[in-house]
Amino acid sequence: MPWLSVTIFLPLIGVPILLFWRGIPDPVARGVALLASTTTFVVSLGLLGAFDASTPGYQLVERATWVRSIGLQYLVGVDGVSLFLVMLTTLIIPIGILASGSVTRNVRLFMACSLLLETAVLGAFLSLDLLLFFVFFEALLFPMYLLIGMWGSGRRVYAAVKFFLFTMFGSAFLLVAILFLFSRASGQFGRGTFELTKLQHLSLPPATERWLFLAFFIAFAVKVPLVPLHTWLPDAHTEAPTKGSIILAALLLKTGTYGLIRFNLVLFPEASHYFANAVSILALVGIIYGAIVAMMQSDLKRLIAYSSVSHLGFVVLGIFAFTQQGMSGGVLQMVNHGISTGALFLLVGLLYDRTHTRQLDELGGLADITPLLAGSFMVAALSSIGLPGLNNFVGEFLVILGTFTANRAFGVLAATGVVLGAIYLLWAYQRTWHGPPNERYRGLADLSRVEITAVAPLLVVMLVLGVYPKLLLDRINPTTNKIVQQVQVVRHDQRLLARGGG
Amino acid sequence: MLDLIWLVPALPLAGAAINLFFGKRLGKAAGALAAAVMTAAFVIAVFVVAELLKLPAEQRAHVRHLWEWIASGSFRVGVDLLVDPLSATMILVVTGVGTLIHIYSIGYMDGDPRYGRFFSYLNLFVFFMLMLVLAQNYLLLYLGWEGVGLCSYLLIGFWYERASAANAAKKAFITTRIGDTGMMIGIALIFVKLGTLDFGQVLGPGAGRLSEGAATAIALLLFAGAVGKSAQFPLHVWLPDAMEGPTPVSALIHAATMVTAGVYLVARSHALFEASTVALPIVLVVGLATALYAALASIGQFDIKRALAYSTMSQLGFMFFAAGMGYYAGAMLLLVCHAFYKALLFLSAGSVMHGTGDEADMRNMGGLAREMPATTAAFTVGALALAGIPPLAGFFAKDHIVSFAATSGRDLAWVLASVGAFLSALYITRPVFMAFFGTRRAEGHAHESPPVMTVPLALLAVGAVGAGVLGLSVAGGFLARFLEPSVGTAAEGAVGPSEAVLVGISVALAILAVAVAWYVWGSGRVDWLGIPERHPGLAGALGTAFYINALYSWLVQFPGKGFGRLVARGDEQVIDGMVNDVGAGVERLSRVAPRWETGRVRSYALSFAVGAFAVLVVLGLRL
Repeated sequence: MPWLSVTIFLPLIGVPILLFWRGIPDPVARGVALLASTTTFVVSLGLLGAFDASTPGYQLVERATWVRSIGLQYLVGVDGVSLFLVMLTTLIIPIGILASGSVTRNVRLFMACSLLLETAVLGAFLSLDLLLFFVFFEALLFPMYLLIGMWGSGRRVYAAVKFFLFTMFGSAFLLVAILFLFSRASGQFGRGTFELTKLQHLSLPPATERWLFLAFFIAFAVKVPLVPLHTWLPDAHTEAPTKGSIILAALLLKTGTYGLIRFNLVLFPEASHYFANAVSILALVGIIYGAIVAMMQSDLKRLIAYSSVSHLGFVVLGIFAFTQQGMSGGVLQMVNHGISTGALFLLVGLLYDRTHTRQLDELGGLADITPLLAGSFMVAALSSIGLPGLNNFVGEFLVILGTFTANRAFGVLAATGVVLGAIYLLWAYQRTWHGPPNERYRGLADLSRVEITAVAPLLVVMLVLGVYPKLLLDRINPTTNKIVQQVQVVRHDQRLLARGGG
Repeated sequence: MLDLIWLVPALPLAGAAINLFFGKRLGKAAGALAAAVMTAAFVIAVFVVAELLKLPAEQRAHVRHLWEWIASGSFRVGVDLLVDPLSATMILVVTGVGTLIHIYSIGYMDGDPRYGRFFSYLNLFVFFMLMLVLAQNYLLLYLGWEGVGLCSYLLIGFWYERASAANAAKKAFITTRIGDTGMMIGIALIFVKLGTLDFGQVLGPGAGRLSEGAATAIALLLFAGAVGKSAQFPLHVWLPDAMEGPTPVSALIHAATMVTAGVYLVARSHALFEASTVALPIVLVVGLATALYAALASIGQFDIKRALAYSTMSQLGFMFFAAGMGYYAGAMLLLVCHAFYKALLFLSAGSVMHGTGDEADMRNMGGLAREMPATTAAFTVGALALAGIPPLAGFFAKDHIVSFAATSGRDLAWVLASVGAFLSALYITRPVFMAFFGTRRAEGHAHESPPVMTVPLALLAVGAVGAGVLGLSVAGGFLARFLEPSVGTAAEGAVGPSEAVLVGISVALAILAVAVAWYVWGSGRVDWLGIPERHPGLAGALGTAFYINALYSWLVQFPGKGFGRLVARGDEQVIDGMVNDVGAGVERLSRVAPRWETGRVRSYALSFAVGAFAVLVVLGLRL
């Protein structure tokens, strides 16, 4: 069974129904989207089963020629880095659909966008051909842009345009770099190709490699986002509908960090070393800067958006430590952040549906009114804070360990980011839930059964991955080990060269 | 039997889960259930320890591997439990004292709207505390360490309707987390240097391989965690505020168990501390300084729980002082005895509050002995035990430590520790006279607490009286011999005055302190209520524990907030401002550009997408 293609394109089955049946009743539209996305999740479980944990390279590869003359092909494959991002995607999309009860305008288009987005994200995570990746990477912008621009709140158009321009800005560099690689390949191999595993063997002069690295890096740094390219994120998050925020945080940002591993490290190992310290410092700035700015926010959603800047800094830091623990921790943290921050955005959305405000000074005293919502928020916040026993701790610790092994000062700075996380989240928790019962909100309903169905899986995953992360690590480790070794070999060669030359 | 050790933490965990989800439906049964799982855990712990005692001393270390927790590359840690004399001592204290406090809570928390939740958190705390002391590697210990911190946060803020409780909870979590960060870096450093986090490796052959510098760094980083968790100077500020929690919480978490985790950590890691020449002296100084500082602060408190909180801090200081001298068995003896008498003191104070409508200010008490005889007896026994009156538990525990300082030739430390011991006896007999004797200074009727509360008091009192039998001599007591495989024996010095002289001085100081306390607060000859007016400087300094909180506000909190605001403003106006300026510039340019550049992203995007797709389709068809 072509597991990957089925997983990628299964969500699209629902799209024609949603697009062409104009009078579709809202509940049916929701049902169609939910059915398509949950089926995708079930199929992805089969994919998980078919995955061979002992193989470090790409598996379940599918190839089809598209445009032979220019070497364009449909090429997908999965490895330990992408496997759980795929699982995260198929889990998050149906949860987001469940949590979209408050969307009442244009439900069918909303649902169609959700499914399109799922296909685009899955395609981006699974493509092994650079042009194919680029197509999916760009394709996910449109539905995301619509989600923010059409169903967002307040300054939604400003936020949507900002999001779009930022990412397009980055993509322009990416496209040029990809085309450059293609032309280099036709020079060296006799025929052009966009295939990742072939381009890996391209020999590039160091200066060229560094320019290419930077072009890829800018595209992905915008998505991560790294400071100072981050300012689209708080606006996009704040104005996006709940589902939009969940997808942004859980999936979209991961295309950035994923791209760094999949393309920057693998294609430009020498340049990766060259820029490693600079990138690590940017990541550290993100960790601390994001946390400090988060602390000062008065809008709960904005606060969590800035916390993402901080958390994604950990991922990048781990990746660029070039150690097994750092890399595995970084990959694990991508999944963990998706779960925890996805859950936080979901819960803030559910809170907003009830209180119609996200301003911290208007909230407070809700713990006794909506205890289930408060309890779930507490668990998600603790996960995000990095409490051992929950998911985030495992990845965060591996990142700190891996970074510390490579560079003591970076490791120490990253660890201090952990304290800041506790400060802003506990303070936010206190201002939202603690205090005497708020008369203004008396009588608000606690989580409904549908909402519990959306929240509970995330909480369960937090606990399971915190106590038994082996489920993931056993499958992630072989691949990260391979990547780290590839990168290390290059460093080794460089040293030999340097010694020989000197 | 030893392999059943996992049941000891598993039972409270199960209790916590059941009460979390079904606590409301269980109603009154929630408390009974929580106490029942605790009792069961205690019984199993007793059997496990009995089994351990059957083994020859050098074989008393049993590891139970449950599953692999985190592994990546050469890094590997398991969920492994270690039963050895040190962890055995701790689990008996935690489950034993814990069970009594659970039973007491059934009465104390009666009628609270979140009754089930309380017991869920309390059980969860015990689970994490047991993981902390049973862990066989530093990362699992860290799990317990953070877990007890979480439960402390949840329970200090249990009555979160009150802003003071919510603030205190947050302060506790964040202050201790500052120390914990140091500890985490220390753990990372252990792995980098030794390639493992298992106690067996790190503390056995590992510690010897460390360089002086590495050992010092690791030991001090771990100690940073201990300073936070055990409320030692300068990370102590959270503990007095933690008294916002329900009193059984203060007794269990903030006196008998969690706060002693730092002492346990030092005792457990003694090989690392000993591999450095400066680590232990620093532990000694921090401990002794905190012991004196907190003892003075305790004398300035009028809130009975805050007075006890400073007392706990001071006693923990004594434990670190002992550990800093390498006298771990002495630290552990004080830990065990303190667990009994401090739990007793707190629960008696809780009984007072329960009987007087939540009065905690000792200025509004007085003469409670008539209406609350059982509570009065309990508190007095606890106070005398702490004061070091022979033959109660505190006498042996504290006297050994003070004597050890003298006989090991640390004269200045001995003098200061003796002063500390005198102050301890003074600050702890003060509330006895203020609250229970003399005349009642407030309206209203006080009533004695129900048996479900007074029976645990009686049992703890037995411990406070008799726990001294565990350590009848400095190095040869039962506990010291039992702990020897875990912590070694302290080299007993032979310098300084003889044992008999030392004991004499010690007892004389304790009796003198009690006498002074009686004269000032019990005899009626001193108008102590007027002291704050007559000596505002002194009372202010003692009452606020030397203004450290205010100092931290000025040094950290206010500048921190200002800096944060500045950064946030910068993000909004400088970084994002530039983005918007670029946007506005492009827009101005576009006005002069041809019409098809509409400046609207949607049309750009659409044309881009259509164009790209068209190119691909055309190319595809040509094939």
